[in-house]
Amino acid sequence: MASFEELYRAHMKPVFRYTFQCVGRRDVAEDITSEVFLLLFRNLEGLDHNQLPGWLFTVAKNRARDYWRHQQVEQRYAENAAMVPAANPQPPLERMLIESAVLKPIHRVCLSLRYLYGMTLEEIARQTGLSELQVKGHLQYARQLLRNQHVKVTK
Amino acid sequence: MSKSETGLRNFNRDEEEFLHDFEVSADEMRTRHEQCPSPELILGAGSDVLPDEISRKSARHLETCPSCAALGRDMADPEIADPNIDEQARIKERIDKESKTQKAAFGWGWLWSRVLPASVVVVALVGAVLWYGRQHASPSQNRTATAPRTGPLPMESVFKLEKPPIRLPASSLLWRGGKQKYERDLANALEPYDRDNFGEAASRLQQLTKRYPDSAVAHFYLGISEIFLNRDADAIEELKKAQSLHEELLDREMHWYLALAYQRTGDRVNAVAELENLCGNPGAYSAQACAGSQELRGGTH
Repeated sequence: MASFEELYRAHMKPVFRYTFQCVGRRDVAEDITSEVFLLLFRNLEGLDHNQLPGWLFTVAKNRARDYWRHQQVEQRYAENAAMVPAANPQPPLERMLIESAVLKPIHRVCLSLRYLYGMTLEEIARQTGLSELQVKGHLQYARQLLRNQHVKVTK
Repeated sequence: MSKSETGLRNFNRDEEEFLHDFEVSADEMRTRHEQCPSPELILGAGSDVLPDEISRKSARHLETCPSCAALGRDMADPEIADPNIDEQARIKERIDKESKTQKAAFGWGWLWSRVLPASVVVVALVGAVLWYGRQHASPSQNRTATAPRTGPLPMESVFKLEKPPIRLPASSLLWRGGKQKYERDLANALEPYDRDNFGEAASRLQQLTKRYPDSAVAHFYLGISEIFLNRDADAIEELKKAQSLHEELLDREMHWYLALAYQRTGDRVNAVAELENLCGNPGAYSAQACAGSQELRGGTH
């Protein structure tokens, strides 16, 4: 039977990753991940270890559902907004951003959040878990990659 | 989504030139995406955790907006979705801190083994007195005795899983035959429940329900422990058994937690049925039940 420390080491990152994908906020993912492992700690003796790691993800998912149920602002937004993208054709920058093979996911995320969603560096840092300096660096590098690609295409 | 105006206005020269190279203006980009859901919703849309209506709208949006769809995929990349060093340290610190408190609490186990049975006896006496009082009270006094715990609860509490405190009806402590043994067994089974060790509590309460199949209390707290262990289907079975034993003191709790368990399994019909029962009869859990029922029927907060 694995100890709590072993289970924590093996599953903490996947649980956080999964939770972040469920709630989209790192601070909330951090809280839920802590709660999941505290619950595991309290129930380690009575828990059938064959249920792991599924049990951890189920707890995380239920907590994520609880979280969303209480996000009234988001809900009101979703009810009121049409959530339809603009009908006009995609500008070349947006198309290249999605299709470019030279960009890594981290570059695309920084570029999208900055130029499509209008976020500040601080907001991007909070969303991605990077420092502002790292965000700035990724943006500079990604812009250069796209420029180079753009020049090649237009030549 | 709430887009930061300053985010677009504070472009540096390199950024302005970059947009100029691609013959696009910041305003145009902003207008194109001002109807897009937030990154949080974009991520949540792929995880089967959003409330139905939002989930449908977000999914529909992602089908028609390649930029948001790409953002959702990219945000799931481990380089972004994994916890950074600071986040890992904070999670570890919180668990270490709270687990140390737990360990310290476990060290007092010897005290629990003495205090809890004594508490049960005290509660038994109080319960018996209350029960006697209720049987002999005038109708108006009777209404006062069963006065509902009312008052609007904050919306945040609807469907939030909270552990009900241990309440022991007098009947459970006046067990026909072997009273003292039952009290002892019950105290032993509820001891891990009291310190949030639901795995151990479920195991002990399961044994208890085998020995005392007519104990509504045992079935009820077993059901609650199973909800905390995410064994919602088992919890429903136990709570239904508890309900069938007609224990008045825990009746409203049983409806509420049964509704909660149904809701967690996605069974809205039965969840609403239980909630309506509480909502239609003023008393404890009425406010939550009415709000919960409205929520499950698709009402808004």
